[in-house]
Amino acid sequence: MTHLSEEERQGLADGTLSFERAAIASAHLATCDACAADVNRLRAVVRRVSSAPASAADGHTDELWPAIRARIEERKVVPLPVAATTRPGSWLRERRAWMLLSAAAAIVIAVVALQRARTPSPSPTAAATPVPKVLPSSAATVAPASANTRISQEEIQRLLDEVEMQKAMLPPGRAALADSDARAIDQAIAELRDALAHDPDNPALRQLLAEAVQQQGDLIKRMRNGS
Amino acid sequence: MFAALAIAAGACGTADAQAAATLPLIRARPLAAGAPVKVFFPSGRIRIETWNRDSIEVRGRIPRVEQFYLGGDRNGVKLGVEDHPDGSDVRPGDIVLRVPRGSQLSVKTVSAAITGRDVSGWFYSVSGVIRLSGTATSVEAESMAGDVYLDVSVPWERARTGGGRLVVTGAPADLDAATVRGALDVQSAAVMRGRFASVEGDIRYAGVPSTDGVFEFSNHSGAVELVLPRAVSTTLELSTITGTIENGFTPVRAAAGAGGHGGTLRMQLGAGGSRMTVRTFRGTIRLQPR
Repeated sequence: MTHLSEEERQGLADGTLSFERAAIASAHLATCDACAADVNRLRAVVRRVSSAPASAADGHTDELWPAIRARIEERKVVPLPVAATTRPGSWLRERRAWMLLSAAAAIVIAVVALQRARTPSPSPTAAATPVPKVLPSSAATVAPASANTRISQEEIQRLLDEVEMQKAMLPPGRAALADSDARAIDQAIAELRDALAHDPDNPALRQLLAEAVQQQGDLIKRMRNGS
Repeated sequence: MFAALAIAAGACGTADAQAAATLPLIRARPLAAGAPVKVFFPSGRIRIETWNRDSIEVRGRIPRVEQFYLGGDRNGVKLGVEDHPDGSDVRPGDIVLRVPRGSQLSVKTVSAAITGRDVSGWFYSVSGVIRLSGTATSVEAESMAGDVYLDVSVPWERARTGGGRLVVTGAPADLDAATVRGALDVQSAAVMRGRFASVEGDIRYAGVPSTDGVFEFSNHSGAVELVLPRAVSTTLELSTITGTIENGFTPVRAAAGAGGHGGTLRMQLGAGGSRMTVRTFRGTIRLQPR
């Protein structure tokens, strides 16, 4: 059975689908529990958004961000072996460490911004003949926010299962095309997880793992489109 | 017996010839500007162009044995060649599609090559080549294994391929490009924000990073090569876990990583306006002056 597209499900939920398409999509809902459940879920979201306090609609979304961020953080799991050996309370220490690191990063950013503001802008001739400046490697420890990405083993396993399912749904020729990509990504993820087991606090490794997992998600989307 | 075989072979030849025979196709209907156009064209070649008219036109040739469809109204149309329910290959056709300027396209093929000029929307092929050029409002091009060539002036562009080659030229402001095994080649001085990723394919960026531009490169085992002008202003942060960093700009060498593996190099060239971050697991990072 062909399911409703994302656009159709969202269009049905928020009432933006054209009359003709809505009629066809509604008929499909009567025979497909999966799509009906998803549309009901989307409708509930639309209702909640429309009944949300006016402040959100007025653009004061900054007030909502801490709560959203907190919920995202709650869903992140630390899957590394080192986590299993940590003592009770280490979560709190790690959180404090992150807060300290964040504060340090903020100070560094502020100092750099202040220095930039004080430094006169370079003359055109200076810009034309750049003098390479090697920055202290310690500065590199101020990792970008994205380096804080933590991927749970459950998430990786879920994606691996999804890849296998999508492969099974593809015609043989297309499955073979996807298979080489899936193997390359699987191998990369395995190597990165192994490296992280030995160096769990390496932000570059975490970022690379996040990229590999993102590649796996993209592959699943391409496989869905090709089935 | 030979006569029977000859007759049978002749009959097969006739059947094949009939199946391969194509019929001319000309269809047109009104279509509002900006209306969605959904296309499924499994095999052959599809060329898409825009024009300043409030109608859609399809011209070309479709195999006699295949079923072409065009449905919808002036608020949106759906067209293409029916897939076979038994999964057998659809015979190749060749069409030119003209749509109103500003139409939002959604084009999907299996092995058919897609060529588009001044078109916006989503373009997907399993193994066919995708070539887009001109000006667009947004472009999303995806292929499982086909090559993707984008030469578009566009505010937002996203491109993905697995084993195919991905080449980006033109002037995309925001660019998100990734391959799994194929090479990724970016030659553009117009990118403001770029994210470039691969797992095994080599990434090559040749351009002039704009002031305040932000660029992130990530690769697992493929190389990342940055070819920049001598007078570039950028802050570079290069790191590899087990690979090597080749600095062709200055004599400065990368600091070795833990256990002597890999390395990091952070340096500012010129005023350091833009920011370029490169991470690899074991791929080589090369910094080359142009």
